[in-house]
Amino acid sequence: MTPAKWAGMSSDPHNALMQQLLDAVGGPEGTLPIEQRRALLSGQAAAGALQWLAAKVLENPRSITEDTFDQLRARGVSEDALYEVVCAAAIGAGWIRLVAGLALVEKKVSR
Amino acid sequence: MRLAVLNGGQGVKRLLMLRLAPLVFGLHAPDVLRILWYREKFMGRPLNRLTEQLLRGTSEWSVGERELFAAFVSSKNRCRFCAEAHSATAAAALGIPVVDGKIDESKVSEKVRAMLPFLERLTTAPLEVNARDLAPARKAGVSEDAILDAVYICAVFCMFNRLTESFGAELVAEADLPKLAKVLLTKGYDT
Repeated sequence: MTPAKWAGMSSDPHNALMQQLLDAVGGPEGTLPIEQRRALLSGQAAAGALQWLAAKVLENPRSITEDTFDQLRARGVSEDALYEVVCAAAIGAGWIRLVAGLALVEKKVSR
Repeated sequence: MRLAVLNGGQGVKRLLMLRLAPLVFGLHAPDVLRILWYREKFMGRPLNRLTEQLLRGTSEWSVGERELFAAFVSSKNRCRFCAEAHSATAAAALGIPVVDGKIDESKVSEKVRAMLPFLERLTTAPLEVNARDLAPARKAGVSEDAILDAVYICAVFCMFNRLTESFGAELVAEADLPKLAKVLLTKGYDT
């Protein structure tokens, strides 16, 4: 679902670029399963050990330290998987705000 | 950076650009580039393109006003890295002091003043925002196009703030902030 479609808009000038971002992070090139990245992109929780990190990114990224990543590395999570969780969760946090904000825009965007 | 891949996994061309930044621009490359230039197709390239359009593309808001929104949202997210960089950029573009996303409100338009409380609500309580929160902006004459642009800027900086905080981006040296602002105003974001 794209932001513009979610908000019922047809003239959102940023929709295409936002969709490209969602398609890239939620696309075939990744270490984590697509379903997991797409869940994070929509602001949902991750599965298993990564849920802890994703929740921190969403709610309190300042609480993340070197030790946060070290604990996940010790459980066998790769650097690329850590990178992808943070990226997808960060974009998910933006997505939540985008959807909430666009829902309030009256449907007379002119561009 | 907290991931080893961000300290050298960007590829030869990008590593060279990171290394040469002090010679070319007179400042160390900000850590956010290490995040965006690692596996660029995965996130950095599309995120940069979106950011360029939002902050430098067509909008009823000036470049300085959009940089102020970026700094303000970053400040509300307590992201010093982004708040300082975009405060410096907003200050340079607007020609007024901007510190941690804060300004002398008499120096900006009524439309900007009316937009800031909504952006704070959207940043800190996105599931609670409603039409009443936007009423002051609409009363001040902010158009739906301008509201949409501001919403996107808020959303994208909520992304950047989490990326830089999570990966442990080092703050840009205070002396380098005006130089960074100049680079951002002349080169933009789609690097």
